[in-house]
Amino acid sequence: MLIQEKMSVMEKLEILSDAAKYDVACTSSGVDRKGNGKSMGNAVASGICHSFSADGRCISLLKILFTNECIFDCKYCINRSSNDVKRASFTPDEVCELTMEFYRRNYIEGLFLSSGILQSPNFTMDLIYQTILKLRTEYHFNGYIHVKAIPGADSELIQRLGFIVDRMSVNLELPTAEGLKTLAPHKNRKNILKPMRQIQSQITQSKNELMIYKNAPSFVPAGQSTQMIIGATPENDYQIVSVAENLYDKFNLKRVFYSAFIHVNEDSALPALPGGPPLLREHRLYQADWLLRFYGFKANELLSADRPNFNIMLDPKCDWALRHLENFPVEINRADYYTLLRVPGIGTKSALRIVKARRQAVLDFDDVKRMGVVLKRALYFITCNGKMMYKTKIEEDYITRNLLNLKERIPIDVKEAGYKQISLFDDIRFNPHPEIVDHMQSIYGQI
Amino acid sequence: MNQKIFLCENSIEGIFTGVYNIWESRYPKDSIKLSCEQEGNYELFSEYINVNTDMIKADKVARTIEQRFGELNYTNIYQAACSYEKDKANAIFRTIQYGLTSKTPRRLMEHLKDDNICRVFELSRAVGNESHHLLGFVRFKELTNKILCAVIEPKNDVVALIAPHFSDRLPNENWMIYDKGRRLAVIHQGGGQWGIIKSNEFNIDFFETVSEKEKEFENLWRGFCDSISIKERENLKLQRQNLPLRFQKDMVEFQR
Ligand code: SF4
Repeated sequence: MLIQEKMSVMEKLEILSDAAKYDVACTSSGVDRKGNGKSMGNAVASGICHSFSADGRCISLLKILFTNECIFDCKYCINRSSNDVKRASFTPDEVCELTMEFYRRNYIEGLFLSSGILQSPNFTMDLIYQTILKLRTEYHFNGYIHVKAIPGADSELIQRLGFIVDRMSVNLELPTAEGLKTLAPHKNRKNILKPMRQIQSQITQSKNELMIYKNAPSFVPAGQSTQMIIGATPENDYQIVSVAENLYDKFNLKRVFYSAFIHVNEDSALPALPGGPPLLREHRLYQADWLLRFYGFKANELLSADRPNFNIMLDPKCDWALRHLENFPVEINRADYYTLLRVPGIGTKSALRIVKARRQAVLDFDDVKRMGVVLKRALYFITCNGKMMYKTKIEEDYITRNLLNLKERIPIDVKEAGYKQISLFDDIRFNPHPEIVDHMQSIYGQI
Repeated sequence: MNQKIFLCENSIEGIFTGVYNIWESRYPKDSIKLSCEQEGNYELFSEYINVNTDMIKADKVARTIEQRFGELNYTNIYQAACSYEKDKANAIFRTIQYGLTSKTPRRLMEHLKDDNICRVFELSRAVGNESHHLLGFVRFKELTNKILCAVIEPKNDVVALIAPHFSDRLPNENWMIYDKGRRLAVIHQGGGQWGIIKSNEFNIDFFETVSEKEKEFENLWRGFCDSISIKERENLKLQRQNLPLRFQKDMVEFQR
């Protein structure tokens, strides 16, 4: 393992951003912080995308590893100790200067700092802490910072770090403890859940203190997130969605990210995946995640032990609605918000607009369309003034066939981008000519 | 009935003055149109009435809107007035008119059944979206004198909408954002205020005299944008969809 003494910052940046790219969490959302008139920076709750890379993903933060050296040997990871890759490490000043200069030019919203494990978890966590401390106090950076908490590091270090960053995340890595055991022999589930729990309870504590003392320092104000790799281990969708639900309910996570497994190492423990990374599956999981967080769905409504995987052909909401035709059609002028949300073709925004607009007038199909509802999807499930849009059979096979004929707008935002991710259920474009883009075609040529 | 068309300047003050003059005129409102299309197609059987922009009248209208309809509706109307679409003036006039006779003026934007309100809402959203995009897509270059300069070419007139964000974010920097199409610049002085200057005389050749470090950081940034992309997921169509070409041309990572 060779570290060149005189590596240029350019070389380091290339190596250490390349090594960080598999981390999917790039959002800068979750906290509103005004500038203080002195230091550089503020934060915007909705998050801001600054660019998009050639894979179409949002670039919001300077996403880098502090070092790609690592004493661990996780089988799925390009930086594992047994790999012969070029290694590099930043100095704290290099990280600070890059962040400041990129930020001034409005390239980025802030910094995302992760790291391979150098010497020990504590040693690494301390390096990260020193770097962030420097950035905040010597460079006076007031923008967004997301750091990885290193499992196994002292809780006291995590605590200190939590007060100077916006978001922290501990990667779950794989959906189940068994998966972790097979692919990440140096890690264990307990070590991952422990800092997660610590961060959760300190966030709660800090919020309580903030209610009493206005100026109390706030701990991880943008909340914590995590991510897991999909398709490297044999868990089914039901297991994965249930894990996510638990993380939201029991650990109060802000976000769970899913990352389609990408084959970077040859290892007999890893699946072959000849079709490339399971992107459509990842996409279905994001859709389901959205349903859990904003649409009031429960994991066991979407899937069950008998039906443990999502329908690849239909989005999870359509799929659910088709299996519950007895609940439909619903009346646009009367159904409550959550009932509207369950209608395919109606998203959170259009549902809200409907609820507001119908206080002023009785709505018909034209109105509903203007409010962003995708009628060709919704028409099987709604009435306006007691009437369906036109006569149609309410029958599972028939509707399924019709829905499948519609090109699904596999969103442009299947990944992380906080504020951008609204497109899942077709309501973003208020403009009544939604662009239908069929990504399924490009991702899965044969479908 | 002979239609009367009030012709105002294409600016928020122009439109608001137009609204004021229409109120004052006491013509039956149904036969009136407000237009900011200076050299539009003249309609044969219409009478044209010119509106001279008047800050005091515009201000009265603005305050009336804010007081009667509330801040949120005001923002929507204001943003719609920044749109590049030509039918905005009339939609705004009609929307205000609707609000003044409505029993629930504070819920003005919820009356989406009305075509004009719906239009204002739509325009406002489009302007809001473009501003939000630009908060991320603006690229500053550092000149030799340390001033940060950015060029943008937005469809809508958004410089005034994005300036507060950058002023809050970069309080101690001298910076300038130049709307090339409109020859409009917002200029911010470190530690101070920002203001908007419009001039046909702008010469932006000096934007080329970048600082020593500028090239270096531009290259670092380009390198970063390349290496952060995952080859196995490459999807240029998606990239273009998220970041339309019209923005790309003013962003350093796409200038190679
Ligand atoms: S700890 Fe595992 S996942 Fe993290 S850098 Fe090291 S080998 Fe990779």
